[in-house]
Amino acid sequence: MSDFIAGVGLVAHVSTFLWCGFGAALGIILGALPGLTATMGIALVIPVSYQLDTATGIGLLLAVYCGAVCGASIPAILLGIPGNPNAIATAEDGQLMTKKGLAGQALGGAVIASMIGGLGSEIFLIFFSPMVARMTLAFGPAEKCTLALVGLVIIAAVSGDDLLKGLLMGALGFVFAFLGPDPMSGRLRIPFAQALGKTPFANGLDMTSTLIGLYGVSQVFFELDNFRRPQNVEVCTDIGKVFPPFKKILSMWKIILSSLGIGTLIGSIPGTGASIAVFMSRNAAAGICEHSKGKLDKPGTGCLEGVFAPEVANNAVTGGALIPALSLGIPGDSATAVLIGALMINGITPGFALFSQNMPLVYSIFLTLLISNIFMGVFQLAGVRWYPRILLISPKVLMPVVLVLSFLGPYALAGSSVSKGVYFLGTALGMGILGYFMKKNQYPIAPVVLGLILGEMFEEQFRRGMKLGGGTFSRFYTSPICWFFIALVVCIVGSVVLKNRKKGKADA
Amino acid sequence: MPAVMTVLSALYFVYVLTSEDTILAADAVGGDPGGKVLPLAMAVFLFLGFLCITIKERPDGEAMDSGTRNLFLVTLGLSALYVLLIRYVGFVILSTLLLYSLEYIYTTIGETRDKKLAVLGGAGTLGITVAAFFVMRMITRNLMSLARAGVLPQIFTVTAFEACISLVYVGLTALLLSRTLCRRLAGERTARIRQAGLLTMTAVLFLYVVFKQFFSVNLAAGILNI
Amino acid sequence: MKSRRIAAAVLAAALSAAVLTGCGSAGGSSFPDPEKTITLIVPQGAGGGTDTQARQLVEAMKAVSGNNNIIVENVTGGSTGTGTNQVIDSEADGYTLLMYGTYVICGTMTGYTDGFEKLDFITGLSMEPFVLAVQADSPYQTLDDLIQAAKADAGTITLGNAGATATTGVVAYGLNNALETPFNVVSFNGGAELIPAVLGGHCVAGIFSQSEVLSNMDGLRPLVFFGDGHSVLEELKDVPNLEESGYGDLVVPGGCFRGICAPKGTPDEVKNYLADTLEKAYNSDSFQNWLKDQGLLGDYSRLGDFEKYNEEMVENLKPIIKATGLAAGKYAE
Repeated sequence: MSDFIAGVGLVAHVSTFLWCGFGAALGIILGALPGLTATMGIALVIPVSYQLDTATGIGLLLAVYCGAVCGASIPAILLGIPGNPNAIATAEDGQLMTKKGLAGQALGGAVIASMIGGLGSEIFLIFFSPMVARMTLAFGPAEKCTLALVGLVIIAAVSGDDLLKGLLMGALGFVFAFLGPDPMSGRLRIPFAQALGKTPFANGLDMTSTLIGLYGVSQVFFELDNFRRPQNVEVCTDIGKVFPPFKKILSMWKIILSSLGIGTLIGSIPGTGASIAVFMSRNAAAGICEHSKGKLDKPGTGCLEGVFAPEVANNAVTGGALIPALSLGIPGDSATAVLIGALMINGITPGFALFSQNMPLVYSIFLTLLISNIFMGVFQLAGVRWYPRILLISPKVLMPVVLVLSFLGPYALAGSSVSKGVYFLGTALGMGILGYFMKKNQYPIAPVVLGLILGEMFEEQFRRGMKLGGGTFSRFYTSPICWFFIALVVCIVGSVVLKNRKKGKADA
Repeated sequence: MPAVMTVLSALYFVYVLTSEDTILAADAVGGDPGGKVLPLAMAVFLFLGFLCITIKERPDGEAMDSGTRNLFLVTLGLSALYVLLIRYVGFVILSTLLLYSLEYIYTTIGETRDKKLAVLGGAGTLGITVAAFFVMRMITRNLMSLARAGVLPQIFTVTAFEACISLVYVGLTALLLSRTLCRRLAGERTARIRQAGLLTMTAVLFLYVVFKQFFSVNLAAGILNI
Repeated sequence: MKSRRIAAAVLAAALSAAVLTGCGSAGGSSFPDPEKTITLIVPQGAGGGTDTQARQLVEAMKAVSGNNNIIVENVTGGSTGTGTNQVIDSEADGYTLLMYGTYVICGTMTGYTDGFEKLDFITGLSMEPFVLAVQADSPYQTLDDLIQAAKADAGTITLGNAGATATTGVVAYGLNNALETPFNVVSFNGGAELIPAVLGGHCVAGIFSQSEVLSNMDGLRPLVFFGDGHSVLEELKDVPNLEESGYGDLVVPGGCFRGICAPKGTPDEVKNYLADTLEKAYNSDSFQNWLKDQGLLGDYSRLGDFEKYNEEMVENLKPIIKATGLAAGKYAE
């Protein structure tokens, strides 16, 4: 108890609140701008955090992290372009709700969901961090490999109507990832290695430029089709009620709990991150809705459920990712990897030592996370009425700006190297054209992106699992966790195939 | 698209098959399946999958009409130029040109365009943006060195504070221009040009301040290296 | 009439811009320009030992120089070759620096980068010893236990490292080759992946940086200390070194050396300024205390001395890397 009071003492300064508020606002803006990720946001404010007290500095970093995760839902809902990968799964239902004139409810719901996710996962973080930390240790290479596969199959299954197309796009994403160097030996695998070996392409396709290209640039090209058509788009200036009905939220308690659980668990598994969690929770929500006897709407139809599930999950990942980060010094995702670096700079070595020797600081971290989550919710709710103004702008005016922004993002990520920036820009443009043709031919985009994100992990862990097993699959078939994941893959594929059959018969 | 992808995946299969194995020479014990197994598996899967779709699906001929195709090609061409030239010309100038051209072209779809006036407007926008940019850099640069010399309070050496000054400057410049120059040029024929130009200048400078001055992102300086 | 007025206004604006721009480029400046950012590139991921040290150093540099425009940038990939190459390719003006380390030497000899041949040496900083550790519940109490078990059934005992061409990878392969390959050497993607694999029992043993073992003392049992003598850390000072374990004839890199380099051709006055700043930063209380807490051994050298020191390291590593079979190009001959 005295530790807790000491922790409160570390946080109880006006400056802590000010910086957390500033961080949350900054995070929301960063998250909403396509191309600026939570990881980059944290990296950008680290220099500021050095100047502050340890607890305050960490509060600032956490606030940016939470805000960036939450803010990504704004463009996802209003424009259908996720600000960063955290909002991939929010885009579909969010955009549909906007088209129905329910933008306000979608935005408000996303904020409430994010707060529930953030605060709920923090409870997990506080009470279960030692336990979950032990659980994550059970995930070796074989388990991580199968987990990556589950993540990809789920996305292929949930995005688009055609499972085959989804799986093919996932495989394409894998192939993009396999263009990078061999993960075990580091040898180059890029075609024309003589010419491209010394360029940034030697590392394969850059993930974020690809993401920006597929989502941002392709959108510009896609909109061109509509420019010449007679436009009678009715822009809803009235975003409607901001707060979704309280009853509605209560009726979704099962979805909230499942998303919270999935988000926290996935977040706490090193190397996974929000991109898997959002789709898993959305899928879980679809299952729950099916068994709700019509009380809940199915995600994919433009309903609050489809926004709530991923938004609870992605902010739950923030708390979850901190569990291994604080207890073991192992990052849960790329953003927490940077966070760990920042912690160590501030004189904190994560690990058991932190929990056994410096509990006041641990409490102060928990408290600043709480404050950050509250600021995040308040700021984003306060601004809800302003965001839809983006929609008042004609796409003819907006699209060139989106294009320039999409070109700025890759550049920003390239850091100090100009030639790298040019290559990233080229990647974004190329992927934009690919994304345009995919959209035209009704191929889903999300599996490509996820395939690219997970491909590296999948291959690396697959090879490592095989190597650990001395060239056999023994690490895979002796692990109950792997069996569970493989069973999950079979179930998902089976259920989607069955459903499509039924639908096909009904249509015929 | 499926037919193209089928061919591409076949090519990828051949490429992977003929490339050298990337396994580690020092790995005496073995057990690593190597860096070709998964790519080959994916190539086969892609080939079969796309082949299946190619056979099953009749190509639905929703071709682009010529106007849209022109728009597409113009956007693509300008974007490609942007990517190729940015390291030589720089962010401010190229973004201004790209943004202005696209804004003008998109907003005047279906209207008659006065080409001479549009080009003039473009040159004007570029000139004004570069001038405004230059003045902005002069202000922050001088404030910073004055503060370093101790003439001004220390807060002027903080980059975030300088960026805030720049932000205010951009806002004021945009307001000033919309009140003065845009009013003087008022008229039906220049409406689109005015809008495109003002938006371009404000957006480019705003992005510059946010990315470069707040977050120290390296934007290509190009020929405007100040 | 109106269009002419527009043209005049436009021309005036364009002209004034051109004139102003022309004036602006004048005026020389001394290093460092306060508006230019000094970037220290770390070719390894954020949060690792190298990254942490770089960030600590940058803080010390800011404190002693009063220049806050210094940042750390992580450029990963290609077994640290990508980041190194980026520094080599950047302008030699002192604004881009490299967090140099033993990994660059390994990367150079294994052919990922031109590495130390295309760098100017500014300041040598420290040495971090390596430790071989197993899970705390594992039956192996000493290095000999582990090696005997591995020899009894070759290929079943897995030995992890932080990357095939990372320094710990060279240690693992060197060890394995010298002992006639009893181990199944498995490369992980940095220490952050290796630690949970060993803690969770997925990999039997691992080669770690000392600080990584230090932060996981509850879950890991250190078996052997690769550095000279013993660890300076209270927690690890009883860990036997190679000689005490009965394997004194094994020659492997004992740790990871780190320093600061710049692209080749950096002007002398810039290098001197940097070396002076780094010397002050190195000697600052905060950095020295940090070194002590982390159990790093200070190993300071500057400019020419550092370059000579590096040449020695290269000579020492040559036979080791050649023996592992990882060497490429002229280092394989």
